Amino acid sequence: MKRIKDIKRLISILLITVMTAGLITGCAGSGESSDRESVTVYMWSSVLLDSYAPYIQEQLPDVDVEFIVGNNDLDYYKFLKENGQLPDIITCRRFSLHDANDLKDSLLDLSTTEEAGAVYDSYIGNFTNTDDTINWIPLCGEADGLVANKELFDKYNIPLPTDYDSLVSACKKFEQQGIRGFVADFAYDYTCMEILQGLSISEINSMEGRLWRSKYEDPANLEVTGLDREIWPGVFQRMENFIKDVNIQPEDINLDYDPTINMFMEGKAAIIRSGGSNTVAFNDMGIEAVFLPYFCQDGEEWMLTYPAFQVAVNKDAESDESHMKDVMKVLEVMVSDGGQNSLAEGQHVITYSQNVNLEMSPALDNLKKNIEQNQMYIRIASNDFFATSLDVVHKMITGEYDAQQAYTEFNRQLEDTSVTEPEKILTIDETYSNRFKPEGGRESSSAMAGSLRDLYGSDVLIAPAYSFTETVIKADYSEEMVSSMIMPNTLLAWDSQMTGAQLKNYIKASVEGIDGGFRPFNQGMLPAVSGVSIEVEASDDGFVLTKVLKDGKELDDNEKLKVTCLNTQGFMDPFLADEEYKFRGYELRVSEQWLEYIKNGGNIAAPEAYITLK
Amino acid sequence: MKERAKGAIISVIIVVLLVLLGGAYYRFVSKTIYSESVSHLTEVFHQANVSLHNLIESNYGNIHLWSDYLEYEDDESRIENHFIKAKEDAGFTDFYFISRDGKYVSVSGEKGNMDFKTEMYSLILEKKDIVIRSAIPGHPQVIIFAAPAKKATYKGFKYEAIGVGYSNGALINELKTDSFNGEASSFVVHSDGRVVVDNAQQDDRNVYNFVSALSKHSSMTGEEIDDLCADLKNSMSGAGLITLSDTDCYMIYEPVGIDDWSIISVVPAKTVNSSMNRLQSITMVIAAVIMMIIGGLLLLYIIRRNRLRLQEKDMEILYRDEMFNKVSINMDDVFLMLDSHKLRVDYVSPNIEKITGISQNQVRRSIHEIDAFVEQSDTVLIWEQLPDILPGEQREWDRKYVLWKTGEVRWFHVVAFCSEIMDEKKYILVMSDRTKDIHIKEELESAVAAAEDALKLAKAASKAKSTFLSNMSHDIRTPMKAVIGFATLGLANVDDREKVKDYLSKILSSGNHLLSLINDILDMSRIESGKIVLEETEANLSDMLHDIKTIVSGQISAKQLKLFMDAIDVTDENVYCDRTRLNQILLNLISNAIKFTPAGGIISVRIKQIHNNIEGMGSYEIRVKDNGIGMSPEFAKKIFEPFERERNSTVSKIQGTGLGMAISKNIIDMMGGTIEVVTEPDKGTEFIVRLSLRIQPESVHTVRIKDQNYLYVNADNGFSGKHILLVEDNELNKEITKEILREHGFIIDTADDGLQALERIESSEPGDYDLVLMDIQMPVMDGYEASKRIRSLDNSRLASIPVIAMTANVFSEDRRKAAECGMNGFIAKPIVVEEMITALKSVFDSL
Repeated sequence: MKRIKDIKRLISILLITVMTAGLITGCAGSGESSDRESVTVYMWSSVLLDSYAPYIQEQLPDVDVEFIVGNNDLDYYKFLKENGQLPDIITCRRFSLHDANDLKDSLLDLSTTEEAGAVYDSYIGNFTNTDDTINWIPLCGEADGLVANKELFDKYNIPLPTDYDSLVSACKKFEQQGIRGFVADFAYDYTCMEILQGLSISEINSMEGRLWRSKYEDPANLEVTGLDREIWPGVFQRMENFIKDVNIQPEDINLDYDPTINMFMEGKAAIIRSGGSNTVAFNDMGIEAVFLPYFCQDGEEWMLTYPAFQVAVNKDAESDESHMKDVMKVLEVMVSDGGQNSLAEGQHVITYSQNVNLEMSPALDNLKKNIEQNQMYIRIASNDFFATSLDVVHKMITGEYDAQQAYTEFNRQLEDTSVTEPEKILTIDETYSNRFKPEGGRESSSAMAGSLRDLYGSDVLIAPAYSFTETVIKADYSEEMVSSMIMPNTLLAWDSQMTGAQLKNYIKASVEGIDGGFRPFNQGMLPAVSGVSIEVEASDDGFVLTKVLKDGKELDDNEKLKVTCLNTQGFMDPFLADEEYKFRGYELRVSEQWLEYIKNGGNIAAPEAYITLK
Repeated sequence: MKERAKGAIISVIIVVLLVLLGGAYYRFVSKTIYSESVSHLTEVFHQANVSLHNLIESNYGNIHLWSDYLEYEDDESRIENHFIKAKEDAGFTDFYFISRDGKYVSVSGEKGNMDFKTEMYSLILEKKDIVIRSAIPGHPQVIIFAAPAKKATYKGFKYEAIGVGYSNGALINELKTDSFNGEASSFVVHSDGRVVVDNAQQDDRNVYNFVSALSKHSSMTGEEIDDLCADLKNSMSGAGLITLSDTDCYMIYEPVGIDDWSIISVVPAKTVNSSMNRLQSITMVIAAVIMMIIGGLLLLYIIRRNRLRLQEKDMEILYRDEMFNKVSINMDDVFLMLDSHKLRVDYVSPNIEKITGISQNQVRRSIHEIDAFVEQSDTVLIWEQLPDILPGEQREWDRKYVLWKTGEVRWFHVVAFCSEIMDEKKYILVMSDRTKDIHIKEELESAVAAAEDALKLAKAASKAKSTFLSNMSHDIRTPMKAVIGFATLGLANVDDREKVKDYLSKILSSGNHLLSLINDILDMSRIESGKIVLEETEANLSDMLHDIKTIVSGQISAKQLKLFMDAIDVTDENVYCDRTRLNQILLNLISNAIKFTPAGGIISVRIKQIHNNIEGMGSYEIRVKDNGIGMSPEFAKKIFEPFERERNSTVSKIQGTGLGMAISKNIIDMMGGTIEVVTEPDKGTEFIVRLSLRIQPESVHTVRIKDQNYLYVNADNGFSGKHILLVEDNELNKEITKEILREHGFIIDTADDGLQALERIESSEPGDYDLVLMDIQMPVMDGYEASKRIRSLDNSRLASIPVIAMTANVFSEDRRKAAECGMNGFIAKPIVVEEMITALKSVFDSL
């Protein structure tokens, strides 16, 4: 018996050794990828590539996962579906069952999976089709509400609001102090939509409200469903009241994220619309911020929530059993306790699943009451609501609409079934693969990088893997879809005159990673370059840049080059801090410039082999 | 073989039948157990389901009662107490007053929001009872049973419905069953498999979707799972035996009757069937034991029968082996069995080493070991021809082998058969040693040849003897006729002295011829019968030639021939040899030469000593040559055969027995010498005799034979006055001898027998008689005895008187005996005057 135990122990040690080695090599990406087809996962935001995607890859060392930055709405995936390019797993944040109906037939029914079964009944109900199928599984919930700068409240001895009246009162008191009582980044549709709904959750969540909502969101409902006459006029009325009560200014419609946050952090605004993540972030930065629910004017207080994102699986994956297994493995890890905890370490999110335990940050303690009382409202998040809310709320803020007009216009837009086919501004005749190949890289990335190098007129362009949605497919592109080719929205560009040596250092940092920057965790995360080609070796610790070639020859260290670097602000900061490079940033986002480029007749460059991975 | 196959088929059929029977029995029992178990389980879990259903119904009943209660009770404190007590009694987690917007306030005043969705419509608008799972993030879900109530207010909260909440644990108790040792797990699930209530016993891990759990951990196929889902959606009952996490389990499901819920229970089959399985096991074991006993007995019977058969077979094989071994050991046949593919030796009889000298092991290693002993290297090997033999056929070869140990040559007759044994082609070879047969055959052939030769010889001999007898008859008759004829003429002309003298001389001649003829025949007869023994005595070749010359001188002169005798390089004259026989040879050769050489011819006798390296031996070559009539080559070949005489010779001219040369040849052969003849008709003949003679150690005679011309016989021998006692019983011989001796001057006294002679000698004075001629064969006292007596006389002078034997027995043994009796010489009868005179002279010369 002892011998058997010893053997078992030995086998266990071997297995652990193999698994550990697998994890290590998994971190280095799948440079030695197997013959199995990789699993393509479109992440709705590049933020997920920071810790979430690496966690998934780490858990699945034997599965080659291609993480690609996708988009946050369903229209993008519909576009992919229509052009036969729907990836294995898709994620999106803006979601309504009604909007998702067009994708229903292309997605796998997950109703009999543990992943769907683990979601609380009351939440999974929002994702259950009328035929009881379930295509989308919600992950943890983001908490949205008001965030108050407690330091300001304390400074001005103003009590933290506990209801709508005290909120209005506090705002007025801050106004008296020359401090904005409440500001919000009204430039965004979601801000407009969430505030509009947040102020009337009690009504929207009433019996009548629930009745209307179930009808509106019913994917099987083919009737045009406008706003409920009983519930929704009051909603706009409360919005109108709120605009007045907290003194929202017409120019606030242009406020976007950064100025709003800055005002809050600089003490120029006492309360902002924000979420749990920012509350935790403020506290982490030393600003005592308090998360407050939406105070409804009937005295109720509600926390507005929405899933961090929803995940669905392409039904086509079923055609290959082994590939299907890989896909389901990835899904399992994505919705697992570990996966969800890796989303901002789970500190500011609410679990929707019975099998996921999230430890909420102490900064969000006052949310617990709302959670315990189930005072949580999941926003109506159809595309129409986003778009219409932006328009109507802006016009309410500017005074163009009163409550009644706003209701009418909102209702009109919802009931407007006329479909205006968007103008196609780009036609691509050939689909370029978005799968990374060790010999050559991604065709789609190369095409985009080459085109953007042309756009920026630079000798060399370097783009992180999270720069493009890799949607260079044979299709006609609308303006929206052209914009969607660049993701994230906040992707920026910087120019620099570099020597060959500097360029090598920059590329080396992009390939091997630097502190504070992005570190490629698998081969698909290696950057794309245009104007030069690179040779990279996979190692146990990641990747090592071995060569930079220009025109087939090793790049001369003294050669002068105009280099354009794409990146998000956060990941670019370490490079910008390095004075050696002397970057000059473009004001316009890459997506904006890209749209202009295409509109002006810019072409999609032919892909080139830009990388050799050994 | 066929019986064995038949037995095997029957055994297989029996085993298959037993297996099928066992399988059928097992299936029957399993099916029965399954039916019984499912029935039992359905009953048990139906009870649990009923219990759950009752709980729910009971709750609804209570809620309705409480609803009624609330209609007439206004006092909130009593209400609170009432429900606190009810909570304790019923075991629910809390009691809720629920507004139409889904908000609630608990009995204790805690507010919250029910996360009902469309269920609210049923509850509030449709006034239906509902049951729903409600969750607060991070907490276990609770089951809310709610029922519409009359609109009222509790603690300022307007409500239109009331409800109670049950935790999962509270409901689990209803699903518990005392059966199955607590190993049963029950789930209340939605139609899509989502678990409402989980009473899993064995797995710490929560199951959130039962269908998913089945997909991942059970043996159910996709179709079976789809069927189950369809049953759940259609509120159908069912049961099945599944393998869940490697454990066989019964799964029973039936609708709860509330919402889309179904209750699914899973129990390990071994738990359910523990007693049944035990019964099944026992019956199976009993059946198996019985079958095993029957099988065992059958097996024992078969084994015993087979063993007996095998024993019989073994004994038979043993006997056969023993017999075969004994037979093969003691016979000259080697048996081999070869495999047809590689010529591997499967069997070789143990006598192979005895027969061939090659050991069994050598042959077992390789049959080609035998090849090395095939005498003729170009002989086609038997093994190479074996593949040509078809089953049932045989082929035969004769091969000659040389035994490597002894070098002995042996003949083998090899027979190869081809047989198929156990579907394998085998060659059986029998190598029969035929050496003895061959030898016998050879001997037989040689004996036949010898017999044929002997027959030929006998025939030839017979023919020759017939011829001889014919010749002899003629040859003997002729002189005899002459003797009788001339004697008749003598009588008729007795008065005519001249005629009588002529007739007597012719009678004498014929008598001499007849005598020599008879002597030769006797001589030849003795030689052929091996009675002649050579007697080596000291001899001097020169003397011998001299003596011969003396003997033949008469004939030489009579035929007017010239005789030359010479000796060349003879350094050793004194030799040991049988003088008599050598003389006989030379005389025969010379006589022949005289016979066949016409008058005036020349005869030469030449003796030559040839150098040799043998110490003590001298090689001599004697050539007797004449220039006579010679011989034909054909006759020359037969000249040494007995009774042969040249046909050309005529008796009338040349008389001869025809035995002379054969006698000479035989004597020379006995002396270890050779004789050859060189002859040519009409030119002459030369006989060459080569002899090796022992040389006397001391050469006494150094005088070499001088070349001489010819010698003449000297008639005066000095015998005059010599007194001889002639002892002879035959009057005729006595008369003839007396006359001859008187002619030579002797004085003759006679005695008729040995005794008379003895008496005369005894009574005589020394010197009265000079010599005694003593016949041997005589009445009263023979010559030998008389000689002995004479030698034994007291008077030494008388006793030493020379005695010469006269006998017809002229053989050497007679001579030897005569010498032993003290006789001094020997004269053959009939008396040849020359011989007698020579003998007498010799005796007198030696005195």
